[in-house]
Amino acid sequence: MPEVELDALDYYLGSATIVGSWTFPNPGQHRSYVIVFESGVGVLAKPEDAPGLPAAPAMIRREVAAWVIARYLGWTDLVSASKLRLIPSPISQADVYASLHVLWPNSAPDIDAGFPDDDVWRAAIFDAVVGQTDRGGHNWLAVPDPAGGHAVPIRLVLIDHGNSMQPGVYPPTSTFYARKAGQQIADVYVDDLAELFDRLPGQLTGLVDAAEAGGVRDRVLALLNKRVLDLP
Amino acid sequence: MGLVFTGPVSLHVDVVRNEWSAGRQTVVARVVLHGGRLSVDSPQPATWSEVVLRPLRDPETRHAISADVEPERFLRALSSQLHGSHLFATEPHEDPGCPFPDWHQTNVEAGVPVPARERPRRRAAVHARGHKRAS
Repeated sequence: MPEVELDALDYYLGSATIVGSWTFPNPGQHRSYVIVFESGVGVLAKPEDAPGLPAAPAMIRREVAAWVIARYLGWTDLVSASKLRLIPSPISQADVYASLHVLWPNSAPDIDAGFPDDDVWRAAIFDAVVGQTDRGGHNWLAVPDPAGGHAVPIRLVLIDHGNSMQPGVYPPTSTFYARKAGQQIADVYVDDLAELFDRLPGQLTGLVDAAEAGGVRDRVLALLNKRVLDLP
Repeated sequence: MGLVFTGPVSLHVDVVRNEWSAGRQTVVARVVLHGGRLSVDSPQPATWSEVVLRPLRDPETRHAISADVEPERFLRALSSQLHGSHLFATEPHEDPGCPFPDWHQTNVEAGVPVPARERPRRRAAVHARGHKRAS
């Protein structure tokens, strides 16, 4: 997708008027909300003041940093468009930051749907780059939901990147990384990694701290030097 | 939805799918500890049994926790490791107080405060122009 269009989407997510919002009584670990903007775009909002989750402020910023990395790789079909934005808190009523994620319609969580090899490779590399520690069997979507019997390819979408971006070079906890670990990285992905490397730290600055951004850079460099998906 | 299990169960975990856009939560599987063994009740067992029984990982040792080898430990670890925005496991609980006794939940509650909308000015301007033309 052209950068100018991504910038326009980013601007919209950061400024559009909220016209509706709801949540479930028991939504899971990170209390989150659906927000509907004027003109009907729905996003999932994860606020930084989520009860019982003291790491939430860092987690929501890592979530948005993962989208920034997807943009720099040119893999914007693999991750939801995300934005850090102030929203009125349902708890304190004060303005708090939240990560906003455009919702994928007609998706199924965690189904291992026989994804295209290109999706699996990019997910494996992406998890290595962001240092994902929470994709061992979970935290992805199959789109569209395979239960619908669709005669269209099922694609892979990665979600939930709050547990990632640790400093240093380490192998991620990732189903997709495990499937491709030790294999040579094709030139097309090396080119994308080189493009990412040239743009770092870019907009990661301000979202993650210098050590976390340095970890991303170090992991990309390790992959570029080895050209094998193998982080020590 | 065809439920495969309707009787009383003992210690169990509900695995809940958040369908955010639809405003609907569905229990896709219930992992039950019966006599020291785990069983999975689900309206779509072919789809969800494999998902919920994937090995977990001990956060300290990094060793796998298998549902077959350590069923109770697996059950108690499920909620801490299956905690995504679209699929999550509840804490283990007994039947009384189960948050999803009917397998699904369609109630939603208010989210972030929505500011009152200002009356759009453009509509008034168009109306005024139309009025001028008519006269």
